[in-house]
Amino acid sequence: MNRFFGHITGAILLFALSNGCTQGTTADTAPAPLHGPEHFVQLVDYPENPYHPEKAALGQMLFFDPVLSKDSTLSCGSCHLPERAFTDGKAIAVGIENRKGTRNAPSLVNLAWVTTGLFWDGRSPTLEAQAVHPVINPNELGSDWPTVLQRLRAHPDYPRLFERAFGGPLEQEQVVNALAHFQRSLMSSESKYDSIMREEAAYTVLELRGKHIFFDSSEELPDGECGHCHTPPLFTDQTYMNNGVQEEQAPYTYTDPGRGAVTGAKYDNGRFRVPSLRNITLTAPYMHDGRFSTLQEVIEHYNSGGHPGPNVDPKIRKLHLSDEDKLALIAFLGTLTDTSFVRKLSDQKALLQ
Amino acid sequence: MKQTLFLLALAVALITAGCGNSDDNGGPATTELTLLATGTYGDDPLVMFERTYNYEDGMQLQMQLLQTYLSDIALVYEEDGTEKEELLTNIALVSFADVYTDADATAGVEVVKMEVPVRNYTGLKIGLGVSPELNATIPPDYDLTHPLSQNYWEDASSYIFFKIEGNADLDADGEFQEKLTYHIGGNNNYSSVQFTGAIDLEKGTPQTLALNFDLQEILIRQQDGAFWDFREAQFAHSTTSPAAVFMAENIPAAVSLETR
Repeated sequence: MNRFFGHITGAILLFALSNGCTQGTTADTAPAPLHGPEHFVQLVDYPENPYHPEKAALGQMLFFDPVLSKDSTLSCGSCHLPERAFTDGKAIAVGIENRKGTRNAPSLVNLAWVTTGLFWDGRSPTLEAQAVHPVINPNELGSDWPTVLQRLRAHPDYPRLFERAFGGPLEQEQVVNALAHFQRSLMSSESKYDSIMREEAAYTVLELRGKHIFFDSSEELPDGECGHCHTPPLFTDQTYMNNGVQEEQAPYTYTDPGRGAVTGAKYDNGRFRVPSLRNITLTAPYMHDGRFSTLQEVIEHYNSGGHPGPNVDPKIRKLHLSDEDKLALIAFLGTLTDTSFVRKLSDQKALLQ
Repeated sequence: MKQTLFLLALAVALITAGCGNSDDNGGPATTELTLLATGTYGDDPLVMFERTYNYEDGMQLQMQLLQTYLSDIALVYEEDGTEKEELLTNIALVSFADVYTDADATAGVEVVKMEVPVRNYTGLKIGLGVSPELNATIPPDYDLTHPLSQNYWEDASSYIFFKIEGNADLDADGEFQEKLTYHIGGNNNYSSVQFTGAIDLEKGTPQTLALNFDLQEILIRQQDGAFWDFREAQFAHSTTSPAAVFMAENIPAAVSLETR
């Protein structure tokens, strides 16, 4: 009961925050294009689901509401915690009834810029398409859409809130559109790195050394080869790569084929989406299977050159980093943590619980 | 009334006479032009992963990526004794990353496909890399669907014009364990080429041109046979890297144009 009242109170507060001047029962649902920070690539409108902050606020309610799970025990936010930059701290995500998933819960930061597919293997082309799956995946929320819709329609507030946000009945399309809206609104761009780019802060000596290693920008230091794929400002180039993390069982054959299972091309086997490194200090453990508990382990992997294989990316090679180089890289990665983003979203989550 | 009808008839006559080269909508007649990019290694099709290419001194090469920007692609024609240009696009990003078979290589990668005014063109101009004008911009100047929203080198204040990535066998042991990553950018490594020859576009007859990149000629200089020795440097990450400069200098001679 307390949770119920918490949700309603939080919803009222969030709606007030998202559209404080709106009166009456129907929101002004005219699109309000989503804008990113100035130092990011410009966003394009998504006409199939035009952005409106009120829809995002509704999506945020849904995201943290266990009503979407079969047994009402888990929400999207159970595996995507704001305080961990929308990851869960587990190697492999765990769904209802403690069912183990197959991969690490990825961070949900700056997804508005994703154009090449969602999930580690990119199997969903859009956030709207992606939002369908966790609800019905037996190892995640384990429910089914008719049940979810039945519960939401019987809820004392959701029908009204959907009517207000979307101006129409509560259907699956509106639910996934709301969830997509919320995820699209998650923008992290206020790290120390961003402040330095705006010349409002400066690197420490160690961070600067790490930055040069990361971007291969000093002839006196070894190349870390990181910035080729983790390109700023998103710190991902949105490609799929085999980074030599899995041992090849036979040519082009891996325990988890990753992208190859989606495209059917053997050259994509063992390739996974290059994740953003923003807030990387908060998103351990690392890699698609969470095999590395710490950034030190991640850097040791890259320093070793990884496992060989015909489609392992040529940029994965022995790096010859010293211990100080490794510490410097970790120090630089620390500048990508956006505490204001984490705090804001954590506070909003608290309002909903 | 008679005067009005006369003026109307005159106007129709003038419009008809003045638009002898027009289509049904009143604009200049056009036809569809497709510009493809293809890749070869000498006489062999350029294929990622599946082909092994012989290199100098017994070395061998397997490719994973060839990627290039092309700027200011324009058809050239003469009018009133003056050379003029019909711009097709000011920037295109071409990647051969998904060319896995000989058939893929022959089919090529689409660079641009558009309606172009029907004319007797005399050539095609192409900038190899990102033109200095565009190279002065940065990704936030563009939306995320634009070719220049990616591949930017912040420290070099330049886009990465070309990426050549693959693996090499340096000692003929059959193991391709040496990683090659040559990235080329910077205004100093930009060049342009003009192909001269008749490109006659006729209304209703789609035309296809194919721009070929011969990787062998990028790595091995045509004039004197000098080659980039993979044993010397297996990567280039700066605008002044000797490997990058050597390859950039070779690119104009490594491209050719054919009509399909």
